[in-house]
Amino acid sequence: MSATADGPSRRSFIKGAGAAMAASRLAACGDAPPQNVIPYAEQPEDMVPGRPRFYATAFPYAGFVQAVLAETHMGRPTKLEGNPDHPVSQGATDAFTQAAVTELYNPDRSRTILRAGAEVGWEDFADMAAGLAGPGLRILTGAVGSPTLFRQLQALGERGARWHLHEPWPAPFASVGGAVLRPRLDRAAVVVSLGDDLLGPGPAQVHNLRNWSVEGGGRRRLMVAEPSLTLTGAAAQSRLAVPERRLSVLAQAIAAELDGGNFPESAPAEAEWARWAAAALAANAGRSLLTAGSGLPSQVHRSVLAVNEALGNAGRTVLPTEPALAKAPDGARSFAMLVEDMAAGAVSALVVIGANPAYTSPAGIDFAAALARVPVTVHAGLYPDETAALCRWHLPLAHPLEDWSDGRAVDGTASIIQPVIPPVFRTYSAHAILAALLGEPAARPHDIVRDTWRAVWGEDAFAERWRRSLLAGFIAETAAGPARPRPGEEPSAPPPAGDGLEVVFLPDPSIGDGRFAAVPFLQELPKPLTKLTWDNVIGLSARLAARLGIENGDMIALSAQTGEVIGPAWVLPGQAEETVTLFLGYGRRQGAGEATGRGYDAYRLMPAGGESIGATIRKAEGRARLAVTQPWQTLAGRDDIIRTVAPGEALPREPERPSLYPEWPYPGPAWGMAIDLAACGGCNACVVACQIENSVPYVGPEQVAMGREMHWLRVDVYYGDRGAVHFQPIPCMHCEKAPCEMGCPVNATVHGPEGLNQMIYNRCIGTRTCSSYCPYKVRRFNFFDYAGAMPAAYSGYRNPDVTVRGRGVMEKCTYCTQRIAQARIEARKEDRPLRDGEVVTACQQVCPSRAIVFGDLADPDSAVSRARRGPRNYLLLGELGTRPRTSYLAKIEEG
Amino acid sequence: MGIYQPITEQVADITLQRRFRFRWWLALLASGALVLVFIAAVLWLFAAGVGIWGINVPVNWGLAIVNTVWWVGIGHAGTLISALLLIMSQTWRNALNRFAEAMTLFAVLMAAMFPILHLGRPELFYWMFPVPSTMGVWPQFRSPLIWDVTSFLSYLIASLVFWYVGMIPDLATLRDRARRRWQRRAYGVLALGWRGSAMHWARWRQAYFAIAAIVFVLVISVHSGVAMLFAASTLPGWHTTLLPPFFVFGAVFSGFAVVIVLAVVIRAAFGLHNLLTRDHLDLLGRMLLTTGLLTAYGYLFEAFHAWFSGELREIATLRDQMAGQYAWSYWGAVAMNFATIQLLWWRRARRSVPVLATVAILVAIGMWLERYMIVVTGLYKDFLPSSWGAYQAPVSEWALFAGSIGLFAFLFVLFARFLPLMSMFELKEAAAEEKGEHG
Repeated sequence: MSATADGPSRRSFIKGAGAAMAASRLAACGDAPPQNVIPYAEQPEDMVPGRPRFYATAFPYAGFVQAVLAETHMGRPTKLEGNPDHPVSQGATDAFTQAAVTELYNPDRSRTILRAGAEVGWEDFADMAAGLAGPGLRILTGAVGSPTLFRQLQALGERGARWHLHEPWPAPFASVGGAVLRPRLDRAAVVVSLGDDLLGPGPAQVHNLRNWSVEGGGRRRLMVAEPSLTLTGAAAQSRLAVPERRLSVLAQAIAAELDGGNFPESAPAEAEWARWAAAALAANAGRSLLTAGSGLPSQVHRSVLAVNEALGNAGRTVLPTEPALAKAPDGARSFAMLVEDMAAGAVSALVVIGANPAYTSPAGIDFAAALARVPVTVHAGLYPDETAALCRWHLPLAHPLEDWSDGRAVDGTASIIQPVIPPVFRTYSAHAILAALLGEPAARPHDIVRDTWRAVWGEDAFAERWRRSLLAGFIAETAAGPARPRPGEEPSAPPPAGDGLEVVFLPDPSIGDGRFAAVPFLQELPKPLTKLTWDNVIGLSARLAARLGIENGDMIALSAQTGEVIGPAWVLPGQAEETVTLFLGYGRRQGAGEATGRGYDAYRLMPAGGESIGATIRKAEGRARLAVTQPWQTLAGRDDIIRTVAPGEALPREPERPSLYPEWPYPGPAWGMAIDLAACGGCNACVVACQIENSVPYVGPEQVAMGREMHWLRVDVYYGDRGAVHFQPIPCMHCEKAPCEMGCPVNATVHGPEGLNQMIYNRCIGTRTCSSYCPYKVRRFNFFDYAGAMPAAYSGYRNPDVTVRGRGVMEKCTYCTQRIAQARIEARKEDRPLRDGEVVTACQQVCPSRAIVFGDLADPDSAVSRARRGPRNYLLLGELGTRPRTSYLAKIEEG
Repeated sequence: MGIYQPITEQVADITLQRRFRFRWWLALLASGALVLVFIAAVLWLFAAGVGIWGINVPVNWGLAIVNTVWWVGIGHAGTLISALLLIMSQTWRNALNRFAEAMTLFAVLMAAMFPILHLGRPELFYWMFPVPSTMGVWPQFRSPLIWDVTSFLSYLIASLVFWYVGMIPDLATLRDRARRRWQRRAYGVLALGWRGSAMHWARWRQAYFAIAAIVFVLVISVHSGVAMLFAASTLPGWHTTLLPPFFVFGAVFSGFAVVIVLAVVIRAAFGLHNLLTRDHLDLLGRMLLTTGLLTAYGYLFEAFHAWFSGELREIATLRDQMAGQYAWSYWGAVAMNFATIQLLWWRRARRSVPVLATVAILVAIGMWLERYMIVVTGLYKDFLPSSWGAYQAPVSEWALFAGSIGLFAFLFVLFARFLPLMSMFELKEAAAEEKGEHG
C-alpha cells in the first residue's frame, strides 16, 4: 500500500457499494434486494443504535471451525470474540479468526460471476451447472468439516460425480488407522514432541494453548525435537534441533528405550535427548504424552501411539477419536489422482470450491496443464486468484460469516454457522453452488443446512434444538467419540534419507498456507519468531549462513530436484544446522490484494506430502529490503527485562520509588494489568485483537521497514542463553509517573481519574515528545493519514466506540477505555460498583493461554491485585520510577 | 570632524550608494535560489505530512530538532558579543555587534521555525501558547517544550528590540544622509524622530543597557531550556545535569564560528578591512578557542559521567556514540570542534583569514554534527532492545536544512543592503575616546 496515494476508483466504488448496502440492506434478512428503499422509521426490536449485538456463530478455516460471538453494530460485524461456552474456544480465538472480520470488507474480494472473464448472472451459471452432474464431474474442495457440505457432496456422488480433496498442509492432528489422535495437554505433566507444532498457528492452536496453560502459572514440562524453531519449540524447556529426517529415528529411539527394542544408530546428542525424553515419559506414565508432527510418515505415528498406549497415556493425554473432517474417497492421493484423471482427459467438468490448487499444488503435479484438458472448469473462491484465472467460470464465494453453514471444531463439536451480515458483495455460498449442481439453483443455504440437521435430530426435536444450537453457537455433546485405531496397514519405513542439506516446509505463521495472503492485517502481523512482515524468507542456521558468507536479507537460491526458488536469507535461531526452512503462502501471482507478487513461492519445491527434501544452496544476486518490526532480538545484557524464577522462588518486592510530583488520588477504580510471561505462547492473537478492537490501521511494508508500524500492542521476542526464547507482550504501561505526561506541551496526554494514561487525539499537535520520552516506546505516530489511506471499505469493521485517528496525531494502547466506559455505564445503571472481571480488554479476552489479567488495583481482592502481590510480579524498567500499571509475572525455569 | 566622516561615509554608503550592487545581487540570487528550495520543502511537507521525513519510532525527532538546537545556538554569540561585551565596556565589539545581532535575530527565526514545521499538525502550533480560548485548555507547564516556547519567544522579541534600539542613532544618520525621498521617509520613520539631543542620548543609554542586561540572561536561559528538552527525559545520554551548561557552551562556540565566517565575508565584500581589522579576528579567534575548550570539557565529562555512573545503559549509550551506527557524528564533532581549534593557540593562525575562516566553518559543521549525535544517538537505542531502530534523513529533510541556510543568508543579504552594517556612532565614539586619550 502506498500511504499517500489511494485508488480513487476503488474507493469510490466501495463507497457507493457501502452506501447502497447501508441504505437498503441493514434491516433486511433475505437475499432479494428490496425494490423500494424503506426509511428506517420503524426500529427493529432490540436494535438500539450504539449498542452492539452479539451472534453466536463460527469461523471455519482448514476444515475446522472456531466458535465465535460476532459483535455487530447496526448490522455491521466489527469484532469476533471466542465463544466462552464452547469447549475448545472457552472464549479465546487465534489471530486468523481475529482478522476474519476484516476479510468481509476486503476490497480485493471477487464480487461478480465471470464466464471467460465476462460478467454473467447466477441464472447463466445455474443453467450450465444443472447439466454437469454425472460421471465426468469432479468436485475439488479443501478439507471439509461441514456436515451439510459433505451431505451435498455425497448426493452429487450418487449422481456419479466424484469428490476430491486438496489441502496444502496436513491437518493439525495425526491419525492412525482411521482414528485421529487428539492431544489433551491439560492432562499431561510431560510432553515430548517430535516436530509437532502443538502451540503453533493453525486450527488447533487455541485448543492446545488453552490446555497447555496452567492456572496460577506453573509449567508443563515440554521437550521438543524439531528442525526449525516453532512456537512449541520456543515454549520447550529442552529443545533439540535436528533435521526432519531424523525425527523418525528419534521416535524409534524413544520406543526402543522404553520397550527395550533395537536402539537405532544416532548421534550422541540425539541419543542422549531420546533417553532423557524416554525417561521423562516413563516417569510420568499416564500423565505424559509423546506426539509427532502430523506430516511425518504414518509408521512413526503408529509407533508413537504404541508408546503412548504402553505408558497408559492413550485415552488420557491423547484421545484416539473419530475424525471430525470428512474423509476423501482416495485418501492422501485424492488430489494427485484428480490431476492424473484430468491429464488423461477423463474429467469433463471440474468445480473447484474454496481451494486454490493452481497456486498450492505441490511440485510434480502440474495442475495448470491438466486443467487445460478439462472442457468445463468452474472456480468458486473469495478472491480472483490463480485458479480463478485458469478456469472458464469464476464464482465469488460468500465469506463464511455471510451465509448459513455448519462445521466442526477440532474436538468434533459441531456448530451452526449463522450469517452475521447479508453478503457484502453479490456472493454465493458453497452450499448454493453445490445445490445448483444438484439442479436446485434456487435452494437457500439456510434450508439446506436445516435439512441436514433435521435428518439428524428428527422432525419433532428439530425446531427446539435448532434454536438452542443457534443461541449457544454450538451443538452440545457432539464432540467426536472415541475410536479404536485399526491395526497396522502402513507400509514399512522408507529408507532414511541421505545426508546433506535438507529443506523443510512450514506454513507462514501469519498468513498460513497462503489462504490469508490477501488480508493486510495478517500480512502486517509480525511473525512471532522473526518479526518479519509482508514477506517470507529462506530460514537457515547461523553456522550455515556463516559458511556461505550470507547475512540476513541477502538473496539466496535453493535448488532441489523439484526446482529452484530464490529468496532472502534469514538466520533462524535454533535452526538445525543442515536444514533450510521454506515458508509457504507467498509468491502469490494473483488475488492476494496488496501482497500479490511479494516473496517467493515455496510450493514450487514442496513435495505432495510436505515432507523434507534434499537441496543445494548458493548465494544469489542482490539484497531484499525486509520489513522487520524488531531488528534487535537479543537482550544486549539487559537481563532484567525478562525475569525468571525457579519454581516457588519469589522475586524481591519492588521498592516504592520517590517522586517530586504529588500522588494521584483514586476515589474509584485504578486500573492495572498483569501479564504472565510463563503463560504467553507468543501466538499473536492479542496483537490482532487489539488492532481490530481499536481500529488500528495497517501501514504497508514500506512504512513498516521505516519503523512506523502502528500496533498498539506488540509481542517482543528475545533470544536468550542456551536456546531460551522469551516472548513479552508490551502494551502501554500506563505509568503512574508517566514521562510522556510530563513532556507533552499541550495536555494531550494526561493522567485520567482511574489511573489511565489517556491520549486526547484532538488535542495532540504531534510534537512526539511523549514518544521520545517513553522508555517503553509503546506510542505510535500517524506519520501519514494511515487510516485514510486504507481502502474505504475497511471502515466497515471499525469499532464505532473508538475514534479514528488522523494524520499527525500520536496514539497508543488505552487499556480498551471504551470497554471500561461501557462497563462503568452498565454498573451505574444498576447503581452498583464495578465487579472484578467485568472489564475485559481485547487482548485479555482473546488470549488462549490466559496470560493477561486486568482489573482494579485499588481493590485488594481483584485478580490483578492478587497477581501483583504474587511472588513472580515485577515491573519492567521499574528502576526508572515510572511506576507502570502494567506489570509482568516472571517466567518459571527449573534450576 | 575629520575622523568621523570616513566611518560614516564608509558604512552609510553601503546602504545609500550603488558601489556594491553587482555583488549584492549575486548574493541575493544565490541565497534566493535556496529560499525557493526552502519554500518547496515546506509546501511538500505541509501537503504530505511529516511522514516524508525519515523519522520513525524510536527516532521520532530528526534533522528538524537538530537544526533547531544548532540555529538557536548560533544566535548566542551575537547576543554575547553585543550584550556581555557592552556591559563589560569592551569597545572592540563595536565593529561586530550590529551584524552579529542581525545574525542572532535571523538564526533564532530559523530555530523557531523548525519546531513548528516538525509538528504532526503544524497548523495548531499556537496551542503551545497560553491562548485563552473556549476550550479552556492551557499549555502543560511541566513540559520543557513550553519553557522553550517561552524562552524562544522572549529571546526573539528581546533580540529584535535590542537590535532595533541599538540601531536608532544610525538610522537617523542614514535619514540625514539619504538623497532619495523614499529613503528619507523610510529611515525617518524607523529613526523614531531621533535628533541626537542630550536627553535622547541619556534615555537611549538607559534603555540600551537595560535591554542588554535582559538579553544576557536569555543567553543562559534559552539554551539551558533547549537542553532541558533532552535532560528532562529519562533516556540514557540525555538525562544528565551536565546538559544545560554543555549546551550553552556549545551554543556560544558555534555562534562565534558563524560570526567569524560572516565577519570575513563582510570584510571582503564591502572593503571594511580598516574597521573590521585583524585585531578583531584575533580576538574572535581567542573567543572561539576559549568556548571550544569549554565545549571539550563537556565532551570529556559527558563520557566521564557515563563511565562513572557504572550504569549499563549509560555506558551502552556512550559506546553507541563512539562506536555505534552514528559514530561518524561523534568523531566528526570531536575532530572539528576539538582538534581543529588547537590551531588557534597560534597568533599567526588567528590573524590569517583563510585559516581562521576554515576553522570557523569546520566548527559550525562540527557543532551541527554534535547536535545530530545527541538527538539521534539518544533515540535510536534506548531501554528495550526490542524498540531499537535506525534513522536516515532523506532528501526532504536535507532540503529543508539547506533551505533554512538559504533563508538565513537571504535575510542577511537584505540586512546588509538596507540597514547599517556596523554601529557607526559607537565606532565614532570609540574613535573619539581613543583620540582623546592620545591627545
